[in-house]
Amino acid sequence: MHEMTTRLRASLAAILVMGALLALPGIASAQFGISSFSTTTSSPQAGGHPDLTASFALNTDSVGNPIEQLKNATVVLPPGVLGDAQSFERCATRTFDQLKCRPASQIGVFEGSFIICRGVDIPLEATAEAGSKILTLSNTAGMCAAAPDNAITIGTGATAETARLAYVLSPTTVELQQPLEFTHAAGEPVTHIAETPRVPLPLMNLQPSPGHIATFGASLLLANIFIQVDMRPDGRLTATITEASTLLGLQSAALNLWGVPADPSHDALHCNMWGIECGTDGLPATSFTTYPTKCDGAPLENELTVESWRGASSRSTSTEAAPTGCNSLQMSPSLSVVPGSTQEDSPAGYNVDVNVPQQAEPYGLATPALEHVSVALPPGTSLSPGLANGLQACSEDQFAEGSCPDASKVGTAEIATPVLAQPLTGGIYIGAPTASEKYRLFARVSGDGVTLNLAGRVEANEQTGQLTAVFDHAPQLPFSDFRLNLFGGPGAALANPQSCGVATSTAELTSYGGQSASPSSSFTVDANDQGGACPASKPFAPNFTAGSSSPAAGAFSPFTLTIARADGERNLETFDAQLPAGLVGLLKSAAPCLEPQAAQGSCPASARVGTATIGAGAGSQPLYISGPVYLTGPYGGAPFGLVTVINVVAGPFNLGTVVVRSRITVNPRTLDLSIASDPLPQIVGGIPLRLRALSVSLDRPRFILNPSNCAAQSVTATLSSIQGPSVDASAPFDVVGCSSLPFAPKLSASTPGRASSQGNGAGLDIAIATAGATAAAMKSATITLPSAMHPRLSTIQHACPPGVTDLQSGCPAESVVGSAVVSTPVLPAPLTGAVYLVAHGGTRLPSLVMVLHGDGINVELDGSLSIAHSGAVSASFLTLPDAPIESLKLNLPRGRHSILGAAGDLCGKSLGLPYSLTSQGATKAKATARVAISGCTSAEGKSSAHKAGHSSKKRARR
Amino acid sequence: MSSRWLSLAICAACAIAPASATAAEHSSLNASFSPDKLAKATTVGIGFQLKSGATPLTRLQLRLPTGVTAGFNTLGLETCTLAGLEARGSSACPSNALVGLGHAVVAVPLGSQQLLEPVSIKMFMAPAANEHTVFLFYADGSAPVIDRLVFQSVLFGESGIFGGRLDTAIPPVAGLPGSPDASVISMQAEIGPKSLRYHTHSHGRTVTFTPEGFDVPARCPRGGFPFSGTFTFADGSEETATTRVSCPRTP
Repeated sequence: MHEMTTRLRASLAAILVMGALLALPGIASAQFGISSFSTTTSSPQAGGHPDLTASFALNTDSVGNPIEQLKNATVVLPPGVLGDAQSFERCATRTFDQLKCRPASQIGVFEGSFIICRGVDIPLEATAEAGSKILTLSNTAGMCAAAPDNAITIGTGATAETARLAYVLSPTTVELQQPLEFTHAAGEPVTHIAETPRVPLPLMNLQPSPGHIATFGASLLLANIFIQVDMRPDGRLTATITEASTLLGLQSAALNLWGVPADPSHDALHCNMWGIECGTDGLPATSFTTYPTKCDGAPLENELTVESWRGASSRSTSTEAAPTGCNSLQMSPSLSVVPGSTQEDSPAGYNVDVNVPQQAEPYGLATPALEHVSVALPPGTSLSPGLANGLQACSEDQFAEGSCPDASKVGTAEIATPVLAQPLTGGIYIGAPTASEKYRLFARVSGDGVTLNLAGRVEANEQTGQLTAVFDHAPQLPFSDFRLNLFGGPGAALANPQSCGVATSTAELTSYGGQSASPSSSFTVDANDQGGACPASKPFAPNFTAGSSSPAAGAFSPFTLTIARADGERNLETFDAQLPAGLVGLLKSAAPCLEPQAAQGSCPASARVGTATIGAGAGSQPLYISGPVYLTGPYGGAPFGLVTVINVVAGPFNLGTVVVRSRITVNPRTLDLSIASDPLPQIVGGIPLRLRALSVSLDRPRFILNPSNCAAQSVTATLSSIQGPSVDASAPFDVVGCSSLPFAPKLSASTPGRASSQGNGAGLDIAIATAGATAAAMKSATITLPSAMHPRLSTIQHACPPGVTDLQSGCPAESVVGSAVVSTPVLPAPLTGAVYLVAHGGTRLPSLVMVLHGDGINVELDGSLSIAHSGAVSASFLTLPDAPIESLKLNLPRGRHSILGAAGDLCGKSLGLPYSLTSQGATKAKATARVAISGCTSAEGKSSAHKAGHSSKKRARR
Repeated sequence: MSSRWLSLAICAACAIAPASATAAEHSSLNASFSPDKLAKATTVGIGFQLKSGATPLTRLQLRLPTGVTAGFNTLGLETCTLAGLEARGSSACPSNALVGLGHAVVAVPLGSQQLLEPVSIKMFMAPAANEHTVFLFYADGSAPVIDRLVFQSVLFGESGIFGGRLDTAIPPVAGLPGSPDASVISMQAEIGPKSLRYHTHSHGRTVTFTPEGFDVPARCPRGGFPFSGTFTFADGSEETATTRVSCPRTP
């Protein structure tokens, strides 16, 4: 107590003269800077509460004066070195100014070296004779006669002598206390080394200045030392002597922070501000400092930066002992994960709280700070695609500057730490993706002048979508609660599991001291957020719509097919849609995308036939993404395919390109198209799509042609669900105006004049030409053989037997009775193939079946043979597919297995071929075509010299 | 009546009959002599109508009255071979080999339809086999389908009231695969000089003459001249039908 009192008195006396002294210019030319900086701890125990000391001294000139006056001095404390100011009484500023702060607010000692008397170096103006007490100087400014240590040195070398000042007689003369021993010539130096006694001052915990987490103060009566404590965004504390008074002439300082201020060891220095009434009796033992809880063996580095009033600055570092004994640390954290809504398959806000109870015993070891926080959300809880609607990302710079856009904010964060009185609060933002981290979370919290930036990431399992939020290398800052509140609503970041049941989150927490814990938290997912039970079997009843934009028969029109499911239903896996009869795509108009481009999804625009849109995500605002649909060549055994290419860009996230292949199959009998998809992607970039809607619009201009039949039809589909049943869906489809479509086919026929009933029989060529896609398609065609021609039993005997399904491979060669070629605007190349005579047993008349091939499509056109009572033989194709054709050519040649025979040569005969053609819209074209006879000599052909034509005017009627 | 006219005449009656078309419960046989005079050469007319629903006829044994089978020395002056007939049709046979004409109706199943195909029949004399007289049958249909059938018949001697048995094996006539074979359901033929004209060369000229036919015996058995036909069907069943030609009136 005595020492403290003495020093205080000395300091008070010194302050009386400082004002004049400190204004004097410096003497030497040394630079402003730090001459020494050291830090010490009373114990390296990790998590302990040691006394900490940071000392520094500034450079001085040759006579001990500071080069420049210190303005600011900032010590950046090592990570994990903390002070708990809020647990101590905070002295009001006014009370502090009145030197009335109570001992309960003292948290250490500030020991400064202040200049009581500046050092000087002044030459003698006149010779000072030995024995004289008077010195004549150029000026006497800076001479401190009243200073305790007022010795000056006169001269140099062997005659240099030290004397004490008695008085300053005038601005140019001083009187010594004793006469000179030597004579000193004018010009010899008179020097005085600056006096800087160290003054220990109680360091009081003050009410924090605005913007600072703590303010410490030490009072030197007229000049106070204020130390502002701040926390950097990385969690490190800084202590700054701010705007040190020039009256102080601070030359060095030592900041002693006590581990447990009430510890009796501090009794001698634990005093009131007058330096009296020292002691700790009655004060509660509370720890103030905390040593880091990381024991990696690395010394702790402190960093000191000083700045002069003239703007010069200097920096220095110091180390102190590495913490030890981390294995003695303990922690017992807990986890709470609670969604805002427990309804299955719905977007929901989530509240995540990692609670870490802090050890409060003053002599106990602090709870280690968490270094690694990893929270695995329940399986099934996933990123919600709807989040991406309007979402922006916060860049690194924006994060650092605290200017993350609002559109990147997905929640709030709160950190409660014993270091601060109030929790730090702020927002959670989606960080801009990097090459290594796709989903980043930026948490920026602030309060009491503190701002912490925590950069984390979310790891989304590529297979399951399970999310794990990870914050690595958290600040070495103890916290009691780390709360994340992710917003709910349609644009929530997360979506609940798609199944009811207990959902468990698990955290993996690792401290800087090496401790780890795995707390967990569970909640129950229900049907309605009210605890309702989910159905035993998850429903799957997607809505299915399909139709053409225009209902006009035979018109080009985009065709759109849409599948949508509700929240809570099973996910769609595949679809297999059967398009209505007559709805065809003019494949000829697009250039199919070839492999491997099709597999890679890099198709040219010339192959594009439509657009696909997917709606992904639970809730009322799914994320909709569109991409082109291309026509491909053969795929999956089908003659054609579609490839849908969707570049999944969800807000700031580019999740890559999704390529979905589909097969286009063609019914060989009806030419009806089916589109069957491969399994649809369920998860992209770790985000389960929760596919809500899939819409495929085949909208290439003049590509999809409506049917020319107006029968009520439907688009049917088989929709399969993930690990669940398939359902059949149907959407009505019909077109109007079929009767107004033009239908004017032209039929012509010819036959070789040479014919017989035996041998090579007779031949017949029939050709039908239509206007193609601009006319109604043909529904039926009945052609009656000229009366001179009849089928031959010897060929009929070799018809393809009943039951053969693959005519090409199963029918005998003798059953091939001709060939056919069909040109259609649907396909790039004509369909060609053989004509088979096919028997059907006793149930049906035999058929002439055209088995046509082209572009991988197999088509079978079945025409039944019939024989009228009159003996007329007809072939009736009654169920022709509703597809436009440009021409159909049927060739029944002569030959050993000719189907036709005639009693003899046909030259000179008049042959008529009656036919009846009916459009899909029931328009009929009925006439008899004159059969041209070829290969006759002019004499033979005289009676049939007229050209082939129609014997009667063709009648078209409806 | 030429075969062409015969066909046309029959064609008027031909029809597309359903498979279940009704017909007689029993097969029937008819016979005639033309001219119908005792001890005169004649043309034998013979025909049959098979019972309804019969499976295809595979064998026909036609028994002729005693005495009728002798005396056709100039009928079938020349012969025709089965192979030639099959290969080239009736044009392969000389006109002097023709011994008779006829027509038949053949049922040709065609899926759900059954065609009743009228066919014309020509009978030719073939080289004797084991001293038995052999006839060749050439059946030819042209509408609604074109078909043709060749088979042979052998004349064997008989005892009792029948003097000979014309044994005819009828080969199956395939129709559409998977459908029953075609089958003869009726036939009418005339064997003998009627409608036949033979040619011979004499002194560098072609001479046309009518061949001799069968001899009608000088005496008519009580009740007339008996004819019998035994029909063997594809299912193995047999049926016999008989008929008689009434005794000619004595001039």
